Amino acid sequence: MVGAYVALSLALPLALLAARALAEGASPTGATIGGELWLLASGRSLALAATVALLACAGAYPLARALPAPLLFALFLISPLARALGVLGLGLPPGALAVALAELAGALPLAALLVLLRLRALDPRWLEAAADLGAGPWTRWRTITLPLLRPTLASAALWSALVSVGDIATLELAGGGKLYALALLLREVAFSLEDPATLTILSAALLALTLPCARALLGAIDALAAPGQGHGGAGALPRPRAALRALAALAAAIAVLPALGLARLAFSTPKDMSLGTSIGAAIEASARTHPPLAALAAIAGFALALRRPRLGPRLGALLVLPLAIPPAVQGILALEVGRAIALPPGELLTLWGLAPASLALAYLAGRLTLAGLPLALDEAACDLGAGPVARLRRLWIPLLGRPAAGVALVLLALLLGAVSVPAFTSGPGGSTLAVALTILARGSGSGAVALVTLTLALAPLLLVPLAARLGGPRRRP
Amino acid sequence: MSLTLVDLSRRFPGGVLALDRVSATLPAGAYTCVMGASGSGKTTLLRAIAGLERLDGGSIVLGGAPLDRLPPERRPVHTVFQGYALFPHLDVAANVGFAARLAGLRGPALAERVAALLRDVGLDAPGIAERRPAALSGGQQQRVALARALAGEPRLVLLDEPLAALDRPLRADLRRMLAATQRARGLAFVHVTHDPEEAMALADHLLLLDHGRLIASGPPAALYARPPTLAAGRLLGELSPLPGAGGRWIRPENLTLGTHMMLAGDPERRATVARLVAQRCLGDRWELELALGERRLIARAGAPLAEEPGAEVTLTWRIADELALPR
Repeated sequence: MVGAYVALSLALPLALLAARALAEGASPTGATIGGELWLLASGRSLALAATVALLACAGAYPLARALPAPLLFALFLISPLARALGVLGLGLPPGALAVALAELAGALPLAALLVLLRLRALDPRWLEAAADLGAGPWTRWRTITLPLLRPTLASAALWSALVSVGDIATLELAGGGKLYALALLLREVAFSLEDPATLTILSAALLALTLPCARALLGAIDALAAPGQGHGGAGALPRPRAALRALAALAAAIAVLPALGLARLAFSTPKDMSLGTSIGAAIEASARTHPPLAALAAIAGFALALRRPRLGPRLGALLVLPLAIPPAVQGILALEVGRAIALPPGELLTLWGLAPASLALAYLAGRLTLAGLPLALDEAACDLGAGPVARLRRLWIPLLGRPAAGVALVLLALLLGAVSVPAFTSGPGGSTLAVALTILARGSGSGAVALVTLTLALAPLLLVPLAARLGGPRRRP
Repeated sequence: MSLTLVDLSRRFPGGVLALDRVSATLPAGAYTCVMGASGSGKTTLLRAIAGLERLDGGSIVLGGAPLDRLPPERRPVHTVFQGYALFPHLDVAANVGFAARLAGLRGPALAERVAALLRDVGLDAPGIAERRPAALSGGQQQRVALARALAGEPRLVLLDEPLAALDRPLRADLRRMLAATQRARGLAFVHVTHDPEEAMALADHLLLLDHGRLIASGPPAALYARPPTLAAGRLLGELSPLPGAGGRWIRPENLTLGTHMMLAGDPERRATVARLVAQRCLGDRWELELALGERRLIARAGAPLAEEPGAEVTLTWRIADELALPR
């Protein structure tokens, strides 16, 4: 089943793209992008991704020690559109610095969240043993904590870099549309040049690169919930010293600054109320499509996570793969599916394009949730005579229903702010709120757009604490 | 170098009193075992000595020097943790050499110390030193943890239920290894356990804890034979109630199955008749469950009785083995 799903969402669209390239030739329109520009864009994208990943990793540990997990997660889920508009709201001119700051504001909480989860999974007895053997706080950090965090930091760097390479909204807005990078060229090739051969080669190359990344990502997530650990390692760490607190404050400021810039933009720029109709239509479309997708993905992700003993690491990595694929490539693949089945860009195609990453995130969340539960529970229920329906009703829905509802809320926050995939799939004018806002923001600097984007940015800050409350231990009446 | 504990107190958030004014002096160079049921405060006591647990009151003095203000890393005390807490990212040699390296040992001197320690704990087979902890068996991990604790040349070694996770034959082997290592080095060991057999076999000196209070201390054989209280007696082994008022008890192995005839002319013995409820094979001996009115008694025998359950049997015992134990 998983194989069929992956084939349908990844392999088949790539094969269709390749088939079209063979049938239509390199560039049916005759227009091409010069090698020099490709080199420049690739170099710029990689340099930007590397800078963002490096800085995110440098700030991850202090930030993880300063902010709670729900806040980090909420900051990570803030739409790239909001961050991009926010850095401009701070007064930065569009360009490389603005793009880097906007991307770093998303990468920092992501890296810090992974580090925090890893710290929680570390056995505090390792630090106690090191102290017992004579290691002071700095030596403990250098010889125990840092080496144990290294794989997590590597995964965080990789994830941040991949998100950066495939990010379109930030490049368009904070880059002023002139900062040509790989994701923008891919969109150019997809829409203006309609060059399937180049798209096939680039998509295949990026997909091949992301498979080991997905394996690493899955391994990192499993390590976060390693069995027999989770003794509250983060709580056992000594109180942060002044230097660490200063670094944490700097990292937190970088993560929060775009939101402040957005607020400034929203309340200081004149509002063009004529945009109300188009924004209203986009809100309606998002409200129609995103909640059902979030709910379905959460249910499917948890259902697949329940099959973990039967899904080996390879199939698990395939499920997680969409999280590692640059969003621009996912957009291209969804567009190709739409072309093959004559489904024009719009709401349905956007749902198809957003589904794989949503399912992947829900699957990861399900794995993390289930890691805290013994696998023998299902066997025990079976042994006591519970059939599949009884097990679902009496065991898994009571145990996982609330966490799954929490994950659905988180997915909703993510979907509301998603821009890069819908930029390919949503059609003219945009069939999601985030894309419509991106288009409007590109066209005018209206305070109305900034105000709605600010509301969009606040959604994760409201939904994630609610999700954490749902996912936490149930209160007894 | 003796260890003195003075009025140690620790109350956990939520009100649980883990240590209730515990005072004791542990002899220099001795193997001390701390015994108690789960939640009796024995691990808290060990962690307090190591500096890993904050105390609400009291003082810990090692060889005349108070340890109270020293952080764990500056105490001359190393611990073998429950579950071992081996560093997963370091190989066996790096784990064992961790403290020695911190003390400034490098190169051949460090390698030599690590090799000697691994030899001492029986881990000198080729390739072991390069393995990660995850690739070791439970027994090997326990040996690495002991070698790691010894490598920093501590003045006191603390062991927190080091044998709890091991199966029975391995436990006996490692118990002997621990005793031999302690004897060879003349170091003071403080070993926490809930297993009376382990404590009796290892300890020169035994501390018994119950609900955070020290209820008895002394040589294990003496405590077993003459426990000061019923709780202390039960911690160390089973007790059978004797007939009559006054709270008299006896160890099951001191009950003999015999006849009233045996008592003739033996003023040092007493006897009673009990009903056989069941008998069970424990491997090297048999356990007999007997009923004496409402009381249940346990006796031990080298071989099973010919009588069926329900039959009456005569129990005899030496008056000198009777224990009058206050509750």
